[in-house]
Amino acid sequence: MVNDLSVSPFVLLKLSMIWHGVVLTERALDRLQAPDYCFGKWEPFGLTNGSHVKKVLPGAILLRDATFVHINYGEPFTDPFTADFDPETGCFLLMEKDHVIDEIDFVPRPSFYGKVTSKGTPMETVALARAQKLILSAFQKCLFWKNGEQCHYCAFFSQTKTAEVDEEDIFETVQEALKEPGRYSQIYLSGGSDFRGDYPFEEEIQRYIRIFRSISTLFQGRFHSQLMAPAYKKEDVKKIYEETGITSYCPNIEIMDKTLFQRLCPGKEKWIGYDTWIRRTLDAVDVFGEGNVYTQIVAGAELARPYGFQSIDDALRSNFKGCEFFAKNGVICLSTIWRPHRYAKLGFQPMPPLDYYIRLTKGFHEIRKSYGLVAVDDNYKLCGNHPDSDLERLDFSCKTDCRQKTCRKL
Amino acid sequence: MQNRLQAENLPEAIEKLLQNQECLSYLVFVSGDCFQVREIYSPDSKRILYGLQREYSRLGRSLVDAIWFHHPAKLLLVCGQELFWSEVDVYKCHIAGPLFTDNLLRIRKKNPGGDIASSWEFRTGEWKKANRTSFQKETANAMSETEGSFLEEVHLDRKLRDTTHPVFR
Repeated sequence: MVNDLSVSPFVLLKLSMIWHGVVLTERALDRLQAPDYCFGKWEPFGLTNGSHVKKVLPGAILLRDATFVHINYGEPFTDPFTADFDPETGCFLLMEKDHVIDEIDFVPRPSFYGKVTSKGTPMETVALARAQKLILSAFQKCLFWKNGEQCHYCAFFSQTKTAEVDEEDIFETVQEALKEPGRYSQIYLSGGSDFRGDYPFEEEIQRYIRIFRSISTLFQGRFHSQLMAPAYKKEDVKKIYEETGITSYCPNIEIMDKTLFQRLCPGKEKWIGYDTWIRRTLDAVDVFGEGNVYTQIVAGAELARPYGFQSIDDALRSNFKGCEFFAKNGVICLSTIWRPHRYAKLGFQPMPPLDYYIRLTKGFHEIRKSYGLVAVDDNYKLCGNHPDSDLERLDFSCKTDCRQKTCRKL
Repeated sequence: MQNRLQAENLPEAIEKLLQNQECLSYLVFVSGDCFQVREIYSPDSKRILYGLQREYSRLGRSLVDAIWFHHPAKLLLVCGQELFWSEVDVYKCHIAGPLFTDNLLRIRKKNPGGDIASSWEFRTGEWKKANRTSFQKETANAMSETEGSFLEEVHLDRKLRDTTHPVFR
């Protein structure tokens, strides 16, 4: 375990858990098959993990302070933590060898799992649930994979067979999910890249508009929601915003350095291009407003062999410069942690040292804070993938200097 | 795991005070900040739950500080001239699951439009009786639960178009 007294111990634990991995004991896995925890058998983003495990793998881990930790269960970690279940207390425990680190919990099973739509589609193939976030996948293939132009660190949709998700199935799943009181604070829509259409991504844009428009009919006014999609032209972004009730948009740059972006994200480079991606991300601020446009990096992929930076200082410099540039322009730039995956082009290779992630987490948090930006749509509760936004939980004081949504009412 | 307070049975008198609508509850943090809190109860005669209305608030920050850095707080229950207090271990933040739902539904039963951002589980130590004046300074300057908040948080099922919920049948 690392120790840095200036950072939340829960954020440090989260980073350690993602870095080292977590394996589940049989006892824990058995308890997680019970109806209160048992997750879906399908994974709407086609991320294949732990194929050797016969039992249903659980949702993400929640630490005692509700920090969210996503683990690729079942990967062959070299020095993992263990998650065990203590039948005496009825609690799950995180262990480091024989030493109890802390009590942990898992995201509870959402009530729509196990149900089917009117067309007979299992709802768990359409949506995924976190503690407070409903994640919808509109297109379960990434067409970049077709010509080997997928992002090199990506393993999403490597195993899925279907592509387009039936839009009525999505609508019905959302309706069903919202019957569970207080379970969701945000609806998030994404999918694999689909560049088809009269102009690149036209079909994808229309699909996202149709889906969000139908979901919007359920709500009075705008509702906490996010579209994670490529960087579209400003007129398309405007159309998405005006024709639906969504509140935030997230075109993820993923690799901050231009040369590395071009190498590691060939599909994104070919269909949009690095400079255009950035320009369109800034343009989106004119539509959604400051602090409502997000982007993120897949932190660590910029250090992966064979193309990556040679030193973590160079990688940090590049990422901090990018984060600051986005912040200056009202865009919230976050980090998410790269976990090497056997189905990704980069394959399995060592992650950068934990210290890199700690410095990155602190740096991103400090930069955004200095610009008065708060990631309310991507915080510990609504997302949980970003250790740097987890740190914002002590930053309530942006009340006076916050550039975005002061007193925003959703 | 650091030494923490265990979830022990609450004294009967304290349970009664928690149920008494006329009693006032206060949370005092190591910073000296004191808040008058409303939605506080015990779901199982052991643990105490508090439904926080707004995450982005001074109270939200105090709770996070207490759980992150293991800073003990104090819970005061004031009924007339009587005051009981205990040290509090801010043990867990629930944003989903049975305890969160129990807390939320309890609030919505009283006020159908009600909501909470998160439910905080406290473990208490030995309860002590004191004169109300012993905490006069803290309670006199107690802040409201939503002090400094800048974002109203509402769950999506509270944003639905009309009241034919569950989701328009």
